[in-house]
Amino acid sequence: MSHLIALPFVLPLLAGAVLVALGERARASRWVTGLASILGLVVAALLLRQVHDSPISYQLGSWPWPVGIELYADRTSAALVLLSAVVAAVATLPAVGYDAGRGRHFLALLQFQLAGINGSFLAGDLFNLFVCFEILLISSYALLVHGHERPPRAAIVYTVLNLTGSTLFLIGVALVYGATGTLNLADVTARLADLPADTRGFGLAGAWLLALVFALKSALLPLGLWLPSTYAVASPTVAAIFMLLTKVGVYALMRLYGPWLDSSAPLASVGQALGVAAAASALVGALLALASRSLRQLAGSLVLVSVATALMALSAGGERAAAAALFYTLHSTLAAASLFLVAACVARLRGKAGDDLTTSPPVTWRGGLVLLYFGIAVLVAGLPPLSGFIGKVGALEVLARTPNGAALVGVLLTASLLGLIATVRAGNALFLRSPAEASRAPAGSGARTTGGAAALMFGLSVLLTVFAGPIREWVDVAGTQIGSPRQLRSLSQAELLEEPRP
Amino acid sequence: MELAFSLLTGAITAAGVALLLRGDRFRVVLGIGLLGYAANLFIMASGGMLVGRPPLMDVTTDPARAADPLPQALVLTAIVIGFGMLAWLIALALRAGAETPEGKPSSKEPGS
Repeated sequence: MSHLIALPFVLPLLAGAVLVALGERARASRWVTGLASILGLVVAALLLRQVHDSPISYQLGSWPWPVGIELYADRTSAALVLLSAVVAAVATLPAVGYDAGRGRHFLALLQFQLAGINGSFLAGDLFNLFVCFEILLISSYALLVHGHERPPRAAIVYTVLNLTGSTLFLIGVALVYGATGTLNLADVTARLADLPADTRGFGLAGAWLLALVFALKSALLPLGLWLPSTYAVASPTVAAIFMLLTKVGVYALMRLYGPWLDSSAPLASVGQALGVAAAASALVGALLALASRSLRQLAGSLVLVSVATALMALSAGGERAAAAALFYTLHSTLAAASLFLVAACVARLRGKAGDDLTTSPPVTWRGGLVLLYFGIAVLVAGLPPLSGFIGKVGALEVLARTPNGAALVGVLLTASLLGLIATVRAGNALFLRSPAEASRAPAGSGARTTGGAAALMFGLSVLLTVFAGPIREWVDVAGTQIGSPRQLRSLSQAELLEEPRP
Repeated sequence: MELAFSLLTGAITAAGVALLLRGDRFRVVLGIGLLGYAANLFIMASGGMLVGRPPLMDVTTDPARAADPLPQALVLTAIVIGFGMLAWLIALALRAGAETPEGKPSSKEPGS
């Protein structure tokens, strides 16, 4: 059995521990971070190749399934692990020199967060999902207040909200375990669909609670309004990495409810609720984008829209819907991360004014940055020819086939239009209406690295566009894996009593 | 015992939620703490309400005489995590001590 699947979780943990031990030694910390990023990318790429033919199920401690703790990777998990490796690697480039100097243990916290994110994508059972959620949350609490003298109010709201969410998660896990007698994700979903009458109520209550928690993490209305204000107080490079946090929520929803959304199982009603909440949150997110006062707020509001789009597609139910949601998630993470990095670049160029949407002081670095911004605007709005268009068409395609197709398509297009107006207006204020001045980035502000990282992230989206054909085919298979129940093998009594062989 | 246990868990949850919904930080911290306890009790109950049965025993013994060990392991993890999170929240609330008046978040955060 290959142990590769554990590495995306173990590597960042080790790197984080080394970074804590290194403490204030900046040079060595950078090397370790760089090495961890590269290794993370390599491991993620290898994992992607390994799951190409069939999913991997890895039993910790070699206990037979489903008694032991399982790590599970199918194409969806592997793609998301690669996505997180890429986003983390690119977004740490500008953070290494800048944010790391503004407080202690910044780089270590980033690695711990990455461990939590990857762990969530690979966890095969509910409780490990909970533990990995907590790992990424505790790092995010610390990263959010990083660089602030006093914790901003939004950070406290975020912490309290997520702690409450964790409590609900625990209660949901307990209910599901009490009803089904298992914690293994695949086993849980299979059993929840077919519960005996006396435990059905408990099981479904647990499933609904878990859906609520995942909706909170993926910032779905009415639980999503924390996101724009929270991301607006985070350092923009941190916000770029926080992009992955909402995806963890989306992934959990896909994993747990994906197989049942188009069936007549009682769990399918979760999908209907998700669809309604997602449609509402797409519209409200777009309106918030119009009202935002800084580039980070704008990006945060657009995240609401993009997560909602992915979940609307998912809630249509079925394998194609899951594939569309996955592709849109890949695209939107890269797009939003590059927008946050542009915000970081603008903030560093303008000093005190930060990334507020005002005409003065002008952004002193024209040309490249302006082009990049409007490229990203096209990407985020889903206009052709970039990957946003391909992703959105995929989502519209599955939505059009649902009973309320016309309304949902209308909602999605309206939200896209509003989002486009908001991005163009912001770009207008920042770049076009301000007086032209010097056209070079001031040295030493870190703006060049940040701009470079934003361009790199944008370049990756372009790659996603160029190779959209093969990637779509690959993602379609991923959709059939996550969108249908996993084939399960029940365990015989003899196997159960057998001693585990290490 | 089931009745007393569930009433107690419900009462703690209700108290936690009530405190959580109050505006000030001290009560919110207390509320989160109470909710955590309630969740832990709830997990314990998910394994069945059994008294005087050990969770760990020999393979040869009748499983019907054992208590489910899994919720006990879960609750141990949950307690540790909950404790750490509560400590963080208290530290955060203390650091935020003298911020702007309640309900008036300052729009200019010294970010980026």
